[in-house]
Amino acid sequence: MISPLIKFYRIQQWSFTTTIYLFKNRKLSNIISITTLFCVILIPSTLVVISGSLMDIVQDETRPYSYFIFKTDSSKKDIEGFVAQAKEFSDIKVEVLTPEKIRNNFFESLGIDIINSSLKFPFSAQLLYPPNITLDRFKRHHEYMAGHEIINSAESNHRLIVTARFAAKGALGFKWITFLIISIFCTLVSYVSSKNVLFLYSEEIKGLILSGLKLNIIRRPIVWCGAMNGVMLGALLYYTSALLAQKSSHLINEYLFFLDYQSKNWGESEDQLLVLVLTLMVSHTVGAMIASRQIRSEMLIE
Amino acid sequence: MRIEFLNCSAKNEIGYTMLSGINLVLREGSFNIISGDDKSGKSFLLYLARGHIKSTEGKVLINKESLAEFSNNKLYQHHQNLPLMTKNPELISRLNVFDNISLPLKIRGIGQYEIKRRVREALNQLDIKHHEFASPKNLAAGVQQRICIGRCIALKPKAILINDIFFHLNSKEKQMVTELLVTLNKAGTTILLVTDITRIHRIEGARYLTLWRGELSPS
Repeated sequence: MISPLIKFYRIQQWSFTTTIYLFKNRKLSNIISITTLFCVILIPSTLVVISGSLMDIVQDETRPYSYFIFKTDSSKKDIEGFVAQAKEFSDIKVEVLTPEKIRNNFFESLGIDIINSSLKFPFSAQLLYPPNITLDRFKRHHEYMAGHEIINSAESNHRLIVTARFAAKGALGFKWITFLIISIFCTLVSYVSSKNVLFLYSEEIKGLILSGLKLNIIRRPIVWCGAMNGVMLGALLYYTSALLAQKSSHLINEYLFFLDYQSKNWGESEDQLLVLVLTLMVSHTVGAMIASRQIRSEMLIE
Repeated sequence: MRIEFLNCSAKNEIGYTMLSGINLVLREGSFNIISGDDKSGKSFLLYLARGHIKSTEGKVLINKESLAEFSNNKLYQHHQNLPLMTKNPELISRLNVFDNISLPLKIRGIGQYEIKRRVREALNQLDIKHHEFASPKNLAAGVQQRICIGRCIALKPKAILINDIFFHLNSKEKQMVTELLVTLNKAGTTILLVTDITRIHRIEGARYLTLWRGELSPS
C-alpha cells in the first residue's frame, strides 16, 4: 500500500541522513571554508569601523546652533529686542552669555588663571534650533538674525551639519557595501565547497536517478549542507563576539564584531549581528544551490 | 506498458547523431533484444524511452501518450514505473545490500512490511540472501550486478529497460538472470534488453533487432 504521508516522511528522512553523511565526511573542507571566511570577514569589517566612526561624528553634530557676538556698545534693551526677535521662531532656545561667563569659559579652555586678566569680552548669544529643522530654514533664520544691527559677527554649524548628513549617508552605504561583499564572498566560498561535496556525492547520484528520485530531492542534501555551514559560521561569529566583547580591547571588538561596541554594551546591537548571521546562512545556501544545479539527469548518460 | 518510438532521432551533447529514424513498437508483455556495436546508440535508445534525453525528431509514446508532453511530476512517475538496469550497477556504497534494494521502494512510500517481503523475495530469486547486510563495495562485480537487478525487480514494474547487464556475470549467473527475466516476461512485464553484439544469446520467444550506427534493422 502506498501512502503519500509515508512517502513524504521517507524522502525527508533520506535527505536528512544524506545531509548528515555528507556533512560528516567533508570535515576538512568545512573547517577550511569556515576558517577562511572567519579570517576574511575582518577585511570588509574595516569598512564598518569607518562607518561607525562617521556615525559618531554625525551623532555629535546633529543639533543645529548659531552663535552671535554683539557689538560692545550694545545695550541690554537692544539685546532683549534681539532675543524677542529670535524667539518669534518656534521651538528655539536662546541663551545669552555674559562677558564674565565667556571670559571664564575662554580661560578655562586655555587652562590659564583669570584673576588678573584685562581682556574685555562682549555679550553674546547662542541659538539652539530644533533637531528636525530643515537646513534651508536654519540657514535663512541664521542669516536673518545675523543681519541685526547689534550683531558684530555670527557663526553657525550649518556647513558641518551638511557634511555630517552626507557622512551619515556614506556610513549607511559602507554597511550595505560590507554586507554585499560578505554575501558575494560567502556565496563563492560555499559554491566551491559544495562542488567538493559533489565529488563525494557523485557516486550516489546515478543510483538515485535510477531509483526515480526527483532531481530537486537529490540536490537537497547539498543545499542543506551549505545552509548548515552558514549556520556554523554564523554561530562561531556570534559566540566569539559574545566571548570577546567582555574580554578584549575596544579595537579588537570593533573589528571582530562588525559593530561598534565601544559605546555599547553587549546585547544592544544583537539585531545587527543577527542580520549578519542570516546573511551568512542565506549566502551559503545560495552558493550551495548554484553548485547543486550541476546535478542533472544527463549525468546518467555515459 | 506499451512503448512506441515513432521516427525518432537523437543527438548527443556534441551534436553527433546517435539515433536516426527509429520506428519501434514494444508491445505490452513483449521481450525485445537489441544488439549493436559500440557507440551504435543502444544506451541512447533506453535513455530516450525513459525521458532522460529528448528526441530531435519524431516522438516517443508511452501507453499512447507523448513523452515530450509529460509534466515534470509525470516524468518522475514514469522513471519510477520504468526502471533501468545499467551495465555499471550504480549502487550506494554507504548503504548495505538490503537498503540499496529497498531505497526505491521507500521513496515510493511503500509500507515497511511489504518492503521487507519484496526485498527478501528478490534476494532469494537472485541467490544473494546471505549478502543482505553486506556493504556492496566489498562484493564481487557479479553480485553487485545482481543487487542492481534485485533493485529493479523488487519494484514489480510493468516494463524494464536493461542495458547490457550480462557484462559482469559468469555463465551460471547469466543463466539464472535469463530465467528470471523470462519468468517476469511471462508474468506480463515488457522487457527491452540492449546488449553488445558479442554477448548476444538466444532467449525463446524474444524479438531480435540490430542497431547499426543509429539505425534499427531486424536481426
